[in-house]
Parts: sequence; C-alpha cells; structure tokens
Amino acid sequence: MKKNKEQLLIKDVMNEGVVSVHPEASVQEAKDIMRSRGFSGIPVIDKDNCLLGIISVADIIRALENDALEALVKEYMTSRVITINANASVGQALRLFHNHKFGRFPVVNNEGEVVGIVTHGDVIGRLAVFLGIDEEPLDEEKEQEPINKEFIPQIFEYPIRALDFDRTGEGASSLKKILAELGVSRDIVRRSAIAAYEAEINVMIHAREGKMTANISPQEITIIVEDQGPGIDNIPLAMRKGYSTAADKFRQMGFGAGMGLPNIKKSADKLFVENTCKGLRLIIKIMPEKIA
Amino acid sequence: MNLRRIVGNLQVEAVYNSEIKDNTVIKGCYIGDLLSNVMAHAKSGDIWITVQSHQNVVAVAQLLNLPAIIFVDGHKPQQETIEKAEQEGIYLFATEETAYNIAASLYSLGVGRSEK
Amino acid sequence: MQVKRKLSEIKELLQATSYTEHNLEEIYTETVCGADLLSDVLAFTKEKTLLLSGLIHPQVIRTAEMLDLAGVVFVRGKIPSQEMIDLAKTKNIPILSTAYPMFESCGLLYKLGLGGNFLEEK
Repeated sequence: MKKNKEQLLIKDVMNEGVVSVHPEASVQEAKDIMRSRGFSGIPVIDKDNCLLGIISVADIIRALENDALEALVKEYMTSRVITINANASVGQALRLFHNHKFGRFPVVNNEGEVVGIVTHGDVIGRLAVFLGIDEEPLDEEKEQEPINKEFIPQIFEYPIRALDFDRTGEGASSLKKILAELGVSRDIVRRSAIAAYEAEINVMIHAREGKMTANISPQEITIIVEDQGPGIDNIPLAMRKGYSTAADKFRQMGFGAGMGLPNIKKSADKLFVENTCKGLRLIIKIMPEKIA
Repeated sequence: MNLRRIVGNLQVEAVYNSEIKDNTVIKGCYIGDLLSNVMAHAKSGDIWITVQSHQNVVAVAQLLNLPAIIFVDGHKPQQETIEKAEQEGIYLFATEETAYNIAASLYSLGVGRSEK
Repeated sequence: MQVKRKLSEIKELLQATSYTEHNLEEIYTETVCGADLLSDVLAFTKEKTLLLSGLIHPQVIRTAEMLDLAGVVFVRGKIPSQEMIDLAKTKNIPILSTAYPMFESCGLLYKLGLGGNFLEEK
C-alpha cells in the first residue's frame, strides 16, 4: 500500500476483522464478548450485513441497572450510528472524534458494508508513529503481569482453506503442538484440540473457508473460528445433539452426525455461537485454572 | 440365540415397550455407523450396534432383516426413528455403554460371529 | 482391573498388518474403542486407547492425533491409503489392518482382557 503524509487513510489505521454481535443476541452475550476481547463497544450487525447500531459499556450498564441482561441487544443498543468511510483521511476522523463523544466508529466501504472499526487511540497512536514522533507502539501494556507467569501470551492464527477436507485438522494439530510446547496441562491441550478440530470440521462442512485465531495465555485459551458461510438459522436447535444439516457425503467421512457443536460445548468452559455479517463465529474458551 | 435372552444379559434398555416374540433369533452382530458399510456387510439376523440415530437406520435394518438395533454411547433415537421402528417391528435398545463393551458382552454370551 | 497389552500382541491376535515403522513391542494399550463416527470417538475416548474403525479416511488419523490414541486398527480388511500411511508416520500414529470384522475384533480383544473405555461426561 502506498502511503505518504497526505494519504494516511482510515483503512491504514483501522482494526480489520470486526467483532460484531447479532441484534437478537442477549445483552449478556454482548457483555461477555466485550469483556473477553477487551472492547468498550461493538457494532450490531444483522445477517444481511446491515449495521443496525452499536452496543457500548454505557448501554450494558443501563441493562444492568434494569436487571435486564437477558434482554436482546437490539433493545439496548444505540441505533444512531455515525460511520466513517475507509477511504476518509485520519484528519476527518479526528474531527469526527472531536465533534462527537463516541470513542469508536465503525468503518464502512463504498458499499456500506462494515469493514473495520477505528478508535480514537488507533488514530492518535498510528498518527504519532506515522509522523515519527513515536516508536511503534510498545507491547508492554498487553503483557502486564499475568497471574501465573508460566509463559508469555501468544496469538495463533490459521486459515482454513476451501475444499481441503484431507488437510482439515492441521490448524487444530498446530494449536495442539503449540500448547503442548508451552507446557499447558494434558487435559487442557486435549480439550482445546478436540474443540478446535470439531470447529475446523464444521467450517469445512458448512462454509468451506474460514479462519482460526487462538489467544493463548496461562489463564485462558480463547479459540475463535470465523467462517464465510450461511451461518445458522436456529442456534439452539443446532446445539442439540443429533441435529445436523450436513450433506450425506460428510456422514460417510465420519462427521456430520450432529455432534460437532455439542462436542465443542462439552470440551469448552464457555462457547459463544453467533452469526456475523459474513458467516458464523464460534468463540471457544478454555480456562486452565477455572475461576468461579 | 433368542433376542429375549440376549437383552436380559445386556446393560441395555428397550426404547419402546413391546413384547419380544419367541421366534426372534439373533444370528450374529454387526457394528457400524456408516450406513453404506452396514448395507454392504451386515447379514440377515445380525443385531446392529450403532450411534446413528437418524430414521434411515430403521430403513437399513428393515432392508437387511436386522431384528434389533442397539444405540450405544448414550445416543437416543429420534422420535421419527422410534415410530418407524414400531411400524416395522424392529426392536430398539439404548445404552450408555460403548460399542466395544456391548460387543464384548455379546461375544461372551456366545452370539455367533458374522461370517465373511 | 484392566490389563495392559502390547500392540505387537494385538497384531498377532488379529493377524494384522502394520503400516508404520513403529516398534509395536513398546506401545501399550489398556482400552479399546470401536467406532466409525469420528465425532463420537472425539466425545468419549480416553487417551492411549486403541481405535478400531471401518472408516478409511485421513481424518481417522487426525482424530487419533487429537486424542493421543495408542493406534488405529482398520477392520474387515480395509487397507489405508498411501496418503493415510504418510500422515500416520508424520503424526506418529501406529496403524494396522485386520481381516476380522469389527464385532469379532472386539470379541477377540475382549478375550485378551482389554477393557472398553468410557469417559465420564462432565
């Protein structure tokens, strides 16, 4: 990408891979996603990739005050959303931040699809680096004092490719090796491997293409598997053992018997299943030292 | 071997209530979850051990003359599967045990080996 | 009270062929699982179990890898493909093939004293 001072654009500073929440999800789910990812607000996007609003900490607090964590996101979100175009300049973004009190704006492309999110901190931070008044942001903040200092938190990423059924499982296999090398306990390695493997198979059967990301720390392993597929119409039904929409050919491969999601749930301490604008997202959490 | 005697000696539960007929004889056993394999290899008179709970299993059992199906690992047949089995007179049993354990019990009871 | 058996003993009993270069004298198992549905294996199987399967597919090897199984025996004379053999070597999973059908393989191993495996549901 060509960059010069006149051309530092939003798409250069934004965070790609938007974490969003479905309007029909519960406030509780939104809260859990925000907490697990350390976000103070996430866009609300429906299955047709339509940006309906944003749900922020302030909205969650409102729901908490009403004792309504079970309420739907769409009832508590802020629907008047200001977006910024990916090709806008950072100067425009700074004005936007200045004029509104919001801490973050969803970034949209020319088609109006959400392609990223940009925070005030992103703009200032990258601008400072760009202008040469700061070094690359230090990672020190992120590594602040793990409770159990056995290893430094790591991020693992693996693309799940299309129509590659024979290779499906390599992502889980690599993750398993990394965890074992980090000295994670056998039971946790095993549970992570099973969950990641079933999630990979799930992508292969239903979507064919996706990405696995794992945030690994001594306290918590979060495996996020996102795919580009049809998503799930009825999530509670899909969670039921034996329910499957897989094609027969996958049954003949030993999968597709409606046990994938239940198996993941069984292996995980927490599982969030959500439809995104592109497909399906599974957030699998496994906690080596489960804190009640 | 009579089916009644067999199930009396196994850790299984009948899925629906029905008196097992005296002349229901089990000649062997087939274990399999891939329906195409079962279609290819199970023999008439085999008792079938599987985890597949889809109603297609009843169609396969009926086609191959398998008098009874045992669902293992805690799998419960779906409602349509049960209804279809009752219609076709296929006995259904379920257990929390694994296929291996049930096979081992059947083998110990002396249930015939399915010939090649 | 379960007994440990060497894979070499199991190979002999099942008149099986081995497809990897593992020293089967040094690999032990206490439990056996017979299944074709891999999700079911993933849900219920303990590590170091021997898997008997009628399913020929590379995903069988991967499942064995995820669970740290002792090895895989393909039943009813099913021969693993070269791709599966290569994968099994890479992933360090012993694979064998026997002419016995699943039911008889289970029966024979049971007589050898090997137990079933059942992982308690959480």
